[in-house]
Amino acid sequence: MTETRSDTRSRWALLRTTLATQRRNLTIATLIGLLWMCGKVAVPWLVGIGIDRGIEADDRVWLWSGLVAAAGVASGIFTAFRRYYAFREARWTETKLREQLFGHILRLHIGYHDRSQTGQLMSRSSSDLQQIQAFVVMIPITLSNLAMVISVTVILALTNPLLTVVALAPLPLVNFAGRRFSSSIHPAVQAVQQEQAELATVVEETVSGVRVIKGFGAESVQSAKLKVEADDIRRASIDAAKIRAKYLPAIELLPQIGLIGVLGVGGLQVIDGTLTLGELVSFNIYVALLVAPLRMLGMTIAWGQRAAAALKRINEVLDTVPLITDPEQPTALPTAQTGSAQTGSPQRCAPMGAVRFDRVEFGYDDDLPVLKNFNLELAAGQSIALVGGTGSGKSTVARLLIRFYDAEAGSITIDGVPIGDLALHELRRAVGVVFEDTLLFHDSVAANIAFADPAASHDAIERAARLAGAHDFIVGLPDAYETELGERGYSLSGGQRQRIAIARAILADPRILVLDDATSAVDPSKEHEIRSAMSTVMDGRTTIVIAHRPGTIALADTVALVDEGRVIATGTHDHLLATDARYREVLAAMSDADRAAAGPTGSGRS
Amino acid sequence: MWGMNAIEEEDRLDADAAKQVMRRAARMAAPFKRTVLSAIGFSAITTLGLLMGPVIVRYGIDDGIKPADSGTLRTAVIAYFIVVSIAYVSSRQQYIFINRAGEGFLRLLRIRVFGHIQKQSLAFFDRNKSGVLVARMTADIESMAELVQWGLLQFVSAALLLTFSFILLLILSWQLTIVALLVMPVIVIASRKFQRDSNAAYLDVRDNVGSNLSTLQEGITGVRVIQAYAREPEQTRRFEESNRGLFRSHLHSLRVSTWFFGLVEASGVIASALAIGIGGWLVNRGDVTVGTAIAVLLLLAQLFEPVQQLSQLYNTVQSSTAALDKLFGILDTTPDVADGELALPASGAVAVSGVGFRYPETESLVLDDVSITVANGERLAVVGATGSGKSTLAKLMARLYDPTAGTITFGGVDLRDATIGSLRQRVVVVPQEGFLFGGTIADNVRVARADASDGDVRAALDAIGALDRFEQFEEGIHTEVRERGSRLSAGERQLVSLARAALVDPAVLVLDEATSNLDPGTEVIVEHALESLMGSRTTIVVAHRLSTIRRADRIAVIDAGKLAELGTHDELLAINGRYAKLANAWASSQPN
Repeated sequence: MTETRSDTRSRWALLRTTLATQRRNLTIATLIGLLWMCGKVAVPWLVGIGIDRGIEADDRVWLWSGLVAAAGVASGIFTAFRRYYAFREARWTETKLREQLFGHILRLHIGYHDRSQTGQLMSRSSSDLQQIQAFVVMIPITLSNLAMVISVTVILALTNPLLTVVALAPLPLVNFAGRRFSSSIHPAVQAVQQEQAELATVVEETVSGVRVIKGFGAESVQSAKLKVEADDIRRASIDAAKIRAKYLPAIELLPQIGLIGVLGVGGLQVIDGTLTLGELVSFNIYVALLVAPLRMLGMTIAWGQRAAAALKRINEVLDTVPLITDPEQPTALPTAQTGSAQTGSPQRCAPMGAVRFDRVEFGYDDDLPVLKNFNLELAAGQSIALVGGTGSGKSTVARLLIRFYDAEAGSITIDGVPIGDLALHELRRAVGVVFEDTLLFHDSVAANIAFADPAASHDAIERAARLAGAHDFIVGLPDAYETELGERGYSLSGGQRQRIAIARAILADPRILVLDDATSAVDPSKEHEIRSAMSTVMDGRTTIVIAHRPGTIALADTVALVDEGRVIATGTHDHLLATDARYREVLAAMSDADRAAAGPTGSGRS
Repeated sequence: MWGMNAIEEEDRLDADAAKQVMRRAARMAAPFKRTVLSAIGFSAITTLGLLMGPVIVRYGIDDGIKPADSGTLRTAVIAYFIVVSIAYVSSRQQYIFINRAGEGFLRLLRIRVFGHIQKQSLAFFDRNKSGVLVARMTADIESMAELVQWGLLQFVSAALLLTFSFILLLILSWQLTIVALLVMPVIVIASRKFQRDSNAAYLDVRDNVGSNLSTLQEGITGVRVIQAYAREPEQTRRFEESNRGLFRSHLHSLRVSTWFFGLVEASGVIASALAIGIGGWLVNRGDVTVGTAIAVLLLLAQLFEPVQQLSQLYNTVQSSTAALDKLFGILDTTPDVADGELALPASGAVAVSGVGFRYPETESLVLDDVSITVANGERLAVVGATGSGKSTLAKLMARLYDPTAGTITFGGVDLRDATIGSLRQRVVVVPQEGFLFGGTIADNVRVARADASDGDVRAALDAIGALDRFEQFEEGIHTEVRERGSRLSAGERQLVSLARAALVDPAVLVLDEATSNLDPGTEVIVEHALESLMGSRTTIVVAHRLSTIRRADRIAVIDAGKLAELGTHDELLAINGRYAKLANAWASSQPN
């Protein structure tokens, strides 16, 4: 993550750019805020006049009453609109930023994804964006609040400077207490969350380890652990409550001191005749009017700080430059037609998909090479099984071929074209990979198979499913091809998932197929079904099989033995078995790992 | 876990159910009655203090300012100051007391629900996904924290404020009370509508948040497939669709709720306007004093903010009620494994006779009419394909479940008649993978017997030949294993798991053999540990390895829930049935 730069300026630049596109609505929101301010400020003034002229002087009391009501209706309407615009624009900012983030995450190289956790990226796109949203809400609201604070202060100061000082003196204290409160409640809340996380750990391990607990009757041990955590949460929560108890009533009651001052000093002025009773009451109401905006001002500062921290984290993602990108001037892969024209071969469609790894060097960490002088050549239509121990580098081969990672040295070509010269989408459509663990999306079976080509016809989908040996079980599903899969959908067995993945690869119809041993996650009794599906797909297609189980090796024409990042021997399975001691060793280790012949047992219900 | 934000049906409680939940919660909170009453008491003092403000202003105006009596004005100012100080002190106390009660209640709820979850049978844990149970104990209980911290208090003080204000208004002037009566109904009706609409909108937003998060998570976890198939633009579009859906639901929720805030604002000012109009008319008729009219004006101004806050509280109350309902649902689940009364004998044969088993709410029999007697000291290997029921048979033998037909006895005593305590001493199950809890190695071994001394733990580790390995660690058996035992290797975790069984020293050992691979060095040690643990104990082992099967006295082949074959290795090879086929398959899958 050396490619990140996030100084304060660029941090806010992201938000500024996004808000710039919403300039019109934000301006409207601010203008509405100003109108709201006018309505709010007019009310106490009109009330004051109403008391002096309407009540005290008995002069058209209903007129003043009506004017107050009208000002009330106006400020009510503007209150609603101010709120609506502020929240709508903030939600829109959040929405746009989330889309920007998601698009960027999908473009980031796999090396980045291998190093980062899903949860981290999730919270960038959810809770961090919410913090920014909460801050954006405050922008137009704070502007109108500030305008109100200033104009009220000016009006009061012009009417009666002494009384203004008395009335407003406690208000900065409200602000001060608010900030003190924010800064002291924050660590207390974090302490509570920490304790909650510890309790969650106890619950989680208890639920996951329930068989052990039941088996030994260890319930009381876990209950005692839980009690400790529950006690801790209570203690931490009450500590936080004490902080609330100290500040919240103070924040609420401090303005009352101003009101007391207004009654005392203002009362004497009324007795002196320098102030009217109506003015006294309007002072009173003005003080009450300022409390909420001042309180919110403190909140805005706190939200701003949180938004800044969230923006910093989001920028760390957005500033990460995707390392694997399209070449500036992509070359196209030669097509079968041109191939046959050149060679003049009698076969009208020569099989395409020759693969060549030439002196390839690669390591995930700088000081830990995985592939060293790796050479592999595969003619079009040929299939090869890569065999090797754990850490031999055999799985890395597939990742380099589809440019999940770029090799550090050496070259990789497909039909003579260096893969770096191909547009990424062309390369990846040319190479189909069936991964060891299959990911199904929350969508229908058909859509999952037609992943490479959502426009594929139903016939094409069904043909792919038949070839992968998946059709039979698919028609047995509740809604056949329309059955929803994924986390929230129908759950398939490991073998069924694998066959969907193979069907997905068949439908994509790649020149080169990489099978990262698709049988490894499957119950041995179902293994042969997957193998027959695999061999159907491999027929006539360039295929690299990364073998994790001995049975898979037989699918390929030849075998390459990979050890310490190099191909150390190639040949047929029988040949290597007869001549290569290291091959026998690796195979023995694989079989050992595979001795779960009777199959892994789940809960016994599968 | 992100998907869990999606709403479940149970989140929508009808009013009657909600009332019932609340009543039950109140019963459960009975131990905190005095604390709650204190909180209410302090809340009442605070509210009265706040309401005294306008009354003191009235006194100041009518008796101080109007007759130009500055002495009385001073008295009013001092009284005001005292009242505010009292309100501050009692307001602090109300927070502390309500939190004491609330957090105490949550603590009690955590301990009770957890205790009840632990009382359940394994079938319960099969039925309920672990994520859901964890969510009950965490997110659901935590969702009530907000209510406890300030929600309940706001509720109480708003109710007190409304009641006291009304009484005060009546005392000040019954005519002016009409002002409140004109405006309040509008607010009450509006807030009911607001509650209904915004609650529906809120549920809709939560639904959308949940599915948007799922799409997001799918994109992030599926990035390798997406890139491999070059589907980035398509997936981004898909995400945008769900993201815009979320935006629209936010907007909808905003639309149905925003007008309410405007209405409350307008109503508050209209109330003031009415107070001036009606007040002025009454003052000029001589019915009330100016001070009274102003006091009513100020009093009404205080009334609207709490009402507005109260309606915002509604969602919190709603989700807390739903959470409580789910928690009570757990407390209402009666554990379906009951304790017997007999003590099991020290040794004896394990006899399975005519045992059938089906998981609750399923049709098919997992086991059907299985009878096997395992003699004292015998070693029986159970083999069969995945889903044949072999693991279930093992679980029944340790009474992790009860058979739905037939009996299982140890030394002639039906396991169902035995006390759970004596059963756990005689029969021990060692699960496939070594599951470790947070804590030290010793803590983890002690799971088997909480009162075991360090010496006992060492002896147990020594009995399986694993003591030396752990004593090599800097802190020996007191080494923290970290979360899920990540500090230890897979083999070491299995050793700890085996040591637990050794600590109990049971008569019968039920083993579910691990299928995962260990590094060769540890493998030998684990094999050795297993062998010394089994020793001459009666052992039932669900076997995956040929070597284990060969060392067993007899082999039982389970096929589709039935006992298909039973005998020694040679006998079963001789009948050339299922076992012979399995054995051949093994032989061929092994390298030559």
